[in-house]
Amino acid sequence: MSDNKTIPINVPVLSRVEGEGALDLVIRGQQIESLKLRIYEPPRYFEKFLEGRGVDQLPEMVARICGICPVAYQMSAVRAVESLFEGEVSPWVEQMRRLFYCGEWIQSHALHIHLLAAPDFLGHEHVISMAGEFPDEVRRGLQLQGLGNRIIALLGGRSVHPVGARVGGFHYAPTRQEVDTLLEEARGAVAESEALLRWLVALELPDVQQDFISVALEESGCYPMMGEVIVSDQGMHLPISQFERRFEERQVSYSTAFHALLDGNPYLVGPLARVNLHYDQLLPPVRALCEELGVHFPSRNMFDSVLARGVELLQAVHETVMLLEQYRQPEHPWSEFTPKAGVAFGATCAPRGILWHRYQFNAAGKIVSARIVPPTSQNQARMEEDLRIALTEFGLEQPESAIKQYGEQVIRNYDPCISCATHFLDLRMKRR
Amino acid sequence: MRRAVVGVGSPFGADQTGWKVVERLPSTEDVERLSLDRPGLSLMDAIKGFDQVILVDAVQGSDQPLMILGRDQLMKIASTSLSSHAVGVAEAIALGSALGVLPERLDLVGVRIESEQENVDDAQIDQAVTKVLELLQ
Repeated sequence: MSDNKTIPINVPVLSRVEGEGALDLVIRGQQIESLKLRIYEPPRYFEKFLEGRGVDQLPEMVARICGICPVAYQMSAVRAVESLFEGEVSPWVEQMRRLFYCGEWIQSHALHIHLLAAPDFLGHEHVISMAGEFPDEVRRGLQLQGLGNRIIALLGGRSVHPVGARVGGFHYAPTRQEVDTLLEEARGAVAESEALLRWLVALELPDVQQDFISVALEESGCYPMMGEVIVSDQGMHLPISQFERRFEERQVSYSTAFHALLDGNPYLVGPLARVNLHYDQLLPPVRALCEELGVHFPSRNMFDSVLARGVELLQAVHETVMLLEQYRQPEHPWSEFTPKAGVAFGATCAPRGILWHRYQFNAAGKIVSARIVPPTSQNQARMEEDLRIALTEFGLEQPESAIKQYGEQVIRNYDPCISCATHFLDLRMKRR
Repeated sequence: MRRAVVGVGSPFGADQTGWKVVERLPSTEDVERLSLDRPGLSLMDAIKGFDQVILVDAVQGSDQPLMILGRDQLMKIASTSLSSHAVGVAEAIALGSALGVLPERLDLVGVRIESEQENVDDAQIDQAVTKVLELLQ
């Protein structure tokens, strides 16, 4: 390649990511002149749909933003309501919400690892061909994903767009028999998820060291799934109500998804950020296995994201067993909350990172305005920054097909849920 | 011999067609009837262990009101760009085949619809029921 040559590379459709996105890259000489991660999913206007709705409809509506992480949307939403309205959730509800979330992490991480990520590292184009060479591993992954779905269905009634969650708790408390059946499966899954982590550690992952800011929620006394404070590896300690003071979303011309910046800088949310920040909060058996396998966090290698997902999956399986063993049927599976006017904030740890909600309510408890910031849009700027660094390090003189494939692998590290990320466009309309 | 008829669908309009066909089938001891709501990959779990499975689903783009596909034909139309948001019947079957968990005999009865927005077509349901009963002979 001569220094004066310009090579455009277009990946019109990114494969093995959720939703539709594309990558436009212009290379001039030995440098990237332009890099654009284009998201062209249509805007979905959920924030507008929610206006005028009551909180009885809120969990069902936000669950439909995503078929993979409905629990995250429901939990961020109900916790926001409960932070403002008058009332209190019971300890049983707190525990069951954590169990509900375990189900989501297990199914989402299992699905991502086996369907989206592992084929990259094993030389396969997709999981169907990978299953021909690694049938036991794929079966194990699908079994774990099924466990996650069954945990969600235990409390949510079903795993796709669950209907069991509500403000104040859950509509239904599982029976002892339902819990015992799932507990037996969860106990068996401990060994399977340990074996999964051993398998992931043996994968040959690229080693691309980068500087990035890890951002996650903090939850007192445990590995975070829900929390009131956002922390970073730069020392930030920010109440979720002050998110908008430091985090900014910007529209870019080539994407329907916003880019989010922290004090003007890209940042990372998701499993790698969480494990980087909260490794010491993992359960002792999870840390013990990491130490035995030589898995070290914090990591500056985005390709370690798949390991982070394996670690979190194991953590969630262990927690599932603990929570099911401690299960007692409650007197009431939900408690009443009295509406109050004001602004409410809720944030939880979706499988892909912090999911932040802000609602304004009137005195009748109706939603006046809503703002939802999904993790994938928060990672957009970081993805572009990563691509610039990683592709340059990979070698811009490589064949176009190799650059395309590597670029897609880099993006898949973030497990972007592009369908969720197109959450809002600023709609200005004139009638003539 | 364990046999099942599985209606695949969702609660939306004509996408309930598979469920309606299963509902209308005569109840017999030797054939299980299942209705699955957007099963994705869990379709494989649902049909594991059966010797014969007939899937019934609404389909778009067919030039026939009823389309019958065998296992090999289903695999040919499976997309390999699997996304965990959109695993269809064909993709689940392709993965099931790779894992060796499919029933020996597997057919799909596809009932043509123009869109999910339309209502379930009674006459088509009856035709599909007749076809399913033929396949069970």
